[in-house]
Amino acid sequence: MRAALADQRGMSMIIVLAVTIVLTSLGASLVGLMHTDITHASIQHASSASFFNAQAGLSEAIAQVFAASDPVGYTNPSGAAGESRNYGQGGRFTYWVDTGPAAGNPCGAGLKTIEALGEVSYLGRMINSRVRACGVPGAPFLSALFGVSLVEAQGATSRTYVAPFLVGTPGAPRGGNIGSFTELNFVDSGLRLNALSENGVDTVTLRDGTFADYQLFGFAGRPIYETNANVDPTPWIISVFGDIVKGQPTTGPIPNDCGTLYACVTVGNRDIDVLSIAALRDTENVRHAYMNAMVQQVLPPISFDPAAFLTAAAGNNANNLLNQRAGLTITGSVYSPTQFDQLMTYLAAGCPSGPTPCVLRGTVYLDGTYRFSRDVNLGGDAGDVTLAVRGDLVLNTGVSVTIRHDLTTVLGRQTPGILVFGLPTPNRRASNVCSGEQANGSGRFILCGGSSQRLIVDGMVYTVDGMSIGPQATVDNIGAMYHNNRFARNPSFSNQNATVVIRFDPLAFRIVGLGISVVSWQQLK
Amino acid sequence: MIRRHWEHGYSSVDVVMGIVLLSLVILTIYRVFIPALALSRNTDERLVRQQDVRLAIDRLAREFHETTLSQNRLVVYSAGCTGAYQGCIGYATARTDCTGSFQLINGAPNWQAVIYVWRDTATNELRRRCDTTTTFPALSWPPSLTPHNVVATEVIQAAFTLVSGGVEIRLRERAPMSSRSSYRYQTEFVNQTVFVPQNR
Repeated sequence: MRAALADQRGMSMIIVLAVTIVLTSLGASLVGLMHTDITHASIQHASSASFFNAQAGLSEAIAQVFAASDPVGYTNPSGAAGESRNYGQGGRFTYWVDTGPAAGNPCGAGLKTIEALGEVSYLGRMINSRVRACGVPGAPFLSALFGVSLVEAQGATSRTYVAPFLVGTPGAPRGGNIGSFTELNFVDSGLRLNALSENGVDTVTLRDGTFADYQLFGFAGRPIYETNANVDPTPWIISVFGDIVKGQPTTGPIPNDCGTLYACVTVGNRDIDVLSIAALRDTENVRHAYMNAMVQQVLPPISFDPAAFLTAAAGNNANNLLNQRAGLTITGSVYSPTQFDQLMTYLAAGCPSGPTPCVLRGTVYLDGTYRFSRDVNLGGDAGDVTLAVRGDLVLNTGVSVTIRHDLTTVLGRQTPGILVFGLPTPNRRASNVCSGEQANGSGRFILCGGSSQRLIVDGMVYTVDGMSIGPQATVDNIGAMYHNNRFARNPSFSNQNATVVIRFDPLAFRIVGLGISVVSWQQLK
Repeated sequence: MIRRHWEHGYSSVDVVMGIVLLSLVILTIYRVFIPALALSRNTDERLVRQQDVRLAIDRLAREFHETTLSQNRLVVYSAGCTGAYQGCIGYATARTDCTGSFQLINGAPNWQAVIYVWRDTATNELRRRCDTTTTFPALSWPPSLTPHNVVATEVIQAAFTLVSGGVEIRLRERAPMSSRSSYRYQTEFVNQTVFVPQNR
């Protein structure tokens, strides 16, 4: 027995070792897998963080442009090296404004290119993302038609199209926005807003010919969509149109009849704010009005200084020869209403004594109220005239006025068209102008109407106290409209059974000279 | 019992005891090793599924960021997205052939095509289709869905929801081994995020 107990031989150690090895290897592999999982998740996290760092860089760049005294001319101070800043945990961003990778106008002429790179360091590598935005410098916001006070359309034959200027694929870009700080009123249910050939092909006659209205939005053929608002109040076609902007000025809400803090949309004489496009078209039965959506925005009010245009016109000697041939003894381009009338008579007659071409040039300042009584083309088909009026401006019934710019250049596209500033002190009494419109020199732009009346104007159309378009007139604007309000009773914009075609060009807002509006965003990496 | 020097070998008792001990060892190894092996495979599969869900979201991220919430340019389909389909969405892209360069017109996106994403319930695949014939998502589901490519596999649930200012995406993937009833570990993985389209 003792001999047997002394013989301590066996296999248990080997088995224990084997099991230990197996368990250890299993544990190690599990740890390795978990580590891989954590690594992958961390890389994913770093990738997401780099994207948000890039977004932060983009926002910083936009803020810098917005704050610049000259947003149009601004570039980042460090040039091609970009502006870098640490951001987040172990990350940073770098941005460029029209320099470095953003140089060379990749967004297009007249636009600002902003590019940002977001980086995050992980495991000795830099994980990065890159984004780019295109913006219109000098434009605090973009709107094809904006009125500080009431914006209205009325009449069953009233037609308004708010289309894009340059069109790509159908509905790209979307049409312009219309907005107000006070109220947008659809007086009649029969009025048409962006109603594209609902029941057949509708045409518009513009400066460059007669077109089917859907061509304004890039459609080669008539788009088929549900026109019955009871069936579909938001048909697919509304995706090509702009928004109705219920604005509120940064200076605080403007009181309106609806009692809302933002502008309201009303129908007829009801002071109830309509909340959506679907409600406008279906519930309120404004079935021929098509816009994308209603949005609320706080926006800065815009105004222009007439003194700047007076100075520019006083120094504009490009019209001296024309003045002389028209029998005027002045130099520069500042005119009294009488002088301007003499000049218009001479222009309308085709400049019998020259010069050739028979056109005005540059900024023209009219010191007082003026009524166009004869058809004139102020600057030719590719001119550069800005007509600034220190009074009211009226187009008599049936009279056509043309102010066109060279739209192949950025300068031509951003040059303002008509600016109506009103008298420094309006008359105490208003006088009848036409079609029930009254004016007292407050800064109104009135088209009396008539089937032969045509206003063709490029660039910004700005008034201090609103614009009124009389029955059967046609307005062909490539640019934008901004109408202020001087006296509460005057609407900022009124389309009374007229045809208004605004082909919105965001570059028309460059002359505002404040801020920047982003028009596109893309992720490069 | 005294073992005599001329008696070699093992008695039956020895053999039985050895077999019993060996059985105990093998049983121990089985109870430890086999589940460990299963855990290893499960962990590997989990890793793959988790990565697959993340990558699926990643592949769609740029497209969702670059599209627009403009009415009817991004459509989440409910009617018609049943049976063979789940989680159906269509949205515009400004990239040529859906993956090329970003096209601009006057600085704004120049829409080029429509992308459709949906889950095929028969194969549990998350599929993606690029339709260059239009820039407006179809009014109803299903549109033409071929040809398409697969964005993710083993997707057992997909949901797209329009939320204020964005699109919420929720994907649920399952590890294939989870079909066994004896499977005791985590088998499904969810990735949910909200994308905010950046364009007008």
